[in-house]
Amino acid sequence: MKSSQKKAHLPQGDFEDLYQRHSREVWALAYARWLNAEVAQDIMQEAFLRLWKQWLEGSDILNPRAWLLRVARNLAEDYAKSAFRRNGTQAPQTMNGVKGREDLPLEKMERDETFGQLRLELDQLAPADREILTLRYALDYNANDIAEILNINATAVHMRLSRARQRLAERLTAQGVMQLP
Amino acid sequence: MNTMPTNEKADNIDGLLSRYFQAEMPEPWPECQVWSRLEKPGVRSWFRSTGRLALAASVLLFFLGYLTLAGIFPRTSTSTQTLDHSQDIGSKINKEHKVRK
Repeated sequence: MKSSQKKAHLPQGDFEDLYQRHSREVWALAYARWLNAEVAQDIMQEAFLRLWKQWLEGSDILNPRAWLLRVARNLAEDYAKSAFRRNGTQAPQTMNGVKGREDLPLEKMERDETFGQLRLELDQLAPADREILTLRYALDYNANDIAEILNINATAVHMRLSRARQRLAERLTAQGVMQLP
Repeated sequence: MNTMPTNEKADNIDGLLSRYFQAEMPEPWPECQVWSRLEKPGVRSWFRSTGRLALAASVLLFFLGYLTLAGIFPRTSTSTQTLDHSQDIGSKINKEHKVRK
């Protein structure tokens, strides 16, 4: 599906608008895979770069949002393979809980510890559940928005969200994390 | 054992998840880096093409050197010398053998 006229219809400003509209969703899906904000940001930028290149080459992409989300998922999976090559059997997020030596205010330390434990628990969830949680809490999307992005029905979103929340609550309570900020 | 009511638990996990994910979101939101990233592959491809050119030049120099050396030291002269030595040795023994007889 190539169209040589496409290049002329793509001003940079339109692409920026597209970025503003969809970059957070792309970031959220990448983040859900790795639970690493920087990696997600890198994947997000790479997905948009590929979209721009596709358009420059004249590819006719009818639904850029769906295209971006699909590419972001694929890039996240590819990152898994390259991360394995770089880090052996340890994925980068394994090191997220390791803290630096600098002195931190007590409040921040407690928050980091809580978030570190939450991240470990999130990592135990199914990737599809993490996607739902990220879209719900990072982007404040409702079940219908999430259902539209993930191509599932809203009831399934509600069920998965409720189950994931319950599981997290139980595990974090057992660790005494829920009483913290 | 935890005695927190289920509703309170749900509120807590909701709040915790909100705080966690909001803290993870980049702030301020990064600008589109497509155009700055587009410049990088150019540099990489220049390096790649230069590297390939260097490799091709090295292979060419290797063959030229090989041919030059092959011209200076031809293989045939070496093999003839060896053959001559063996003939000498053989003939010497034969001569001594004949003298004793």
